[in-house]
Amino acid sequence: MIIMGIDTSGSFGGAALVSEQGLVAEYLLQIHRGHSELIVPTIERVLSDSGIALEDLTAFAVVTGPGSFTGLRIGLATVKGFAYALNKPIIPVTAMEALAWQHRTYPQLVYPIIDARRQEVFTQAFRSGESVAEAVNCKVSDLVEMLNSLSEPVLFTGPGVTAHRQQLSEVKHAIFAPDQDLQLRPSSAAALGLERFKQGKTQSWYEVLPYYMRKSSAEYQFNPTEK
Amino acid sequence: MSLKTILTLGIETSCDETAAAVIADGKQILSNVIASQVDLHQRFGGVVPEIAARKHIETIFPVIDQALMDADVALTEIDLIAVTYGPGLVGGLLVGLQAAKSLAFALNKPLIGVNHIEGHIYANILANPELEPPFVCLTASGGHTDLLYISEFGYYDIMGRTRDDAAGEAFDKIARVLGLPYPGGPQIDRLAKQGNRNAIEFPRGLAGDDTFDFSFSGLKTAALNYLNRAKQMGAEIHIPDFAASFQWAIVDVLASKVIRAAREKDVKQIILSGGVAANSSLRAQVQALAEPLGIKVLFPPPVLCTDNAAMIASAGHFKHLAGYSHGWDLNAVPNLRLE
Repeated sequence: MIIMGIDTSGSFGGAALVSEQGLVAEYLLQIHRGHSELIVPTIERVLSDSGIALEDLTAFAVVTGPGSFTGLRIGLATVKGFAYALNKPIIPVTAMEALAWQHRTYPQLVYPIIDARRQEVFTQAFRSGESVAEAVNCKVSDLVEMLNSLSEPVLFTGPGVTAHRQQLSEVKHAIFAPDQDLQLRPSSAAALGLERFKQGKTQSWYEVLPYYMRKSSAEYQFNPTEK
Repeated sequence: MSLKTILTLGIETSCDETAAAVIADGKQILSNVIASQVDLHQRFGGVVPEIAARKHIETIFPVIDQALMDADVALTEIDLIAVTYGPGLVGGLLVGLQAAKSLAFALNKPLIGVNHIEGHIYANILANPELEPPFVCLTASGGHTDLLYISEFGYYDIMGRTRDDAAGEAFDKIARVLGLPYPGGPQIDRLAKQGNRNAIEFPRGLAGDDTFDFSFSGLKTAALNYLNRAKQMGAEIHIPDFAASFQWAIVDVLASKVIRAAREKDVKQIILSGGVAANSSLRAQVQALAEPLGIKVLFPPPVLCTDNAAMIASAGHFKHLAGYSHGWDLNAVPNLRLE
């Protein structure tokens, strides 16, 4: 059983292969030229270096969002094409879920942070890799206020930490994941995907949709009250 | 040696149509599926790029699936995959391009990136399979206006192009100011039929014989000034006369240049393509000028004038025969030009 994990949601992107024995291969690169130029060559490299053919894979795990709208669509178009051509399932994974999975051995609350611009973030509460609340799009100040009403330590991870570290430090018992661990690893998406695959939590090429968590700005401007 | 049929899957997502098609040997349409988003954008008065891109990712694979089913072809039978990689809206282009790359990679088939403008030339080959080069092609839409000489399939020479606005852009802009629904070109065409094209004298950009290039920004400004002046003076505007005169200023220039190009290249075929090729006045005028010269004028049926993937597949087929292919790092180029 081999799962490919693909992430093109942020300013890093890449692909990984994970089997029941653990990590097979992983490439994670900073995106300079754009996700579209990068992702298929990276997938090709991960496969050829591992001596594994695309058709040998069991399923494709993909990060559905939130993140760069364009990046999310590139990731989804890629796995939809593979799934459609090879008749294989897709395992959708959110960015928060994949990031929380990286810290699932941490026993206390984990808050993956994705920057949402305008002094806002996308985040969600996890404990031992399992979500304990719905994902939200909130102001950083509101998140800090809410967490300060709790008495337990909170681990912050995710690429959004970099932009909001100063404000998040105002949380009394804040702990930050090491810098190099703030990025979403495609292997986390693949490993979580493997777990979900075993539970039968898969979707087909026509079902999977991006998880934007936000309407387009044109829709906001057209009808500011609808959210 | 076998003369196997070559099957091309074409994909097009450069604007507000999600389209896929299957073409045999570059000329025979086996299927041509177009999912239009026009309804989705109407309330905004134009295409909203992010909304378009969101619809493309929802629709692209069902559209591809439909194209294969309509053609009664299995995906594994496809020989090459052609996709528009520009010009257009980057968000939409990337959805189609990535879908094409993913399928081509999974199937281990060649990927051919097609310039959308070049695709429009091939709409005519699909409508007229007996068409053979050489010919002169005027291709005009909301995004481009080019005058091309095609000596051989898969190749072209640029004789002229717009130096500022595209012809269709001028149509859409003026239609919008007049409060006509989007897309505005067909609305102006309809109104112009009841108007006098000589009622208002609008300027012709680059009308001289020294260039095959076009310019429509001066006309656009003159038309806008005319409307503003009338509004300030409280004068009533006869909309059909205005539409007819404005349209005529564009058609007059386009028609005379394409005729002059055909004469210079000494070809007996002119083809019109792109959204503006659907304009009834342009078709009539080019035909009227061409007939006495023994020049045949071809234009695609309306379904092939608008954005479609059949023309992209056809162009891809001939580009492939001419030796072109692209790597997995092909990126979308929103402002791609014919070079």
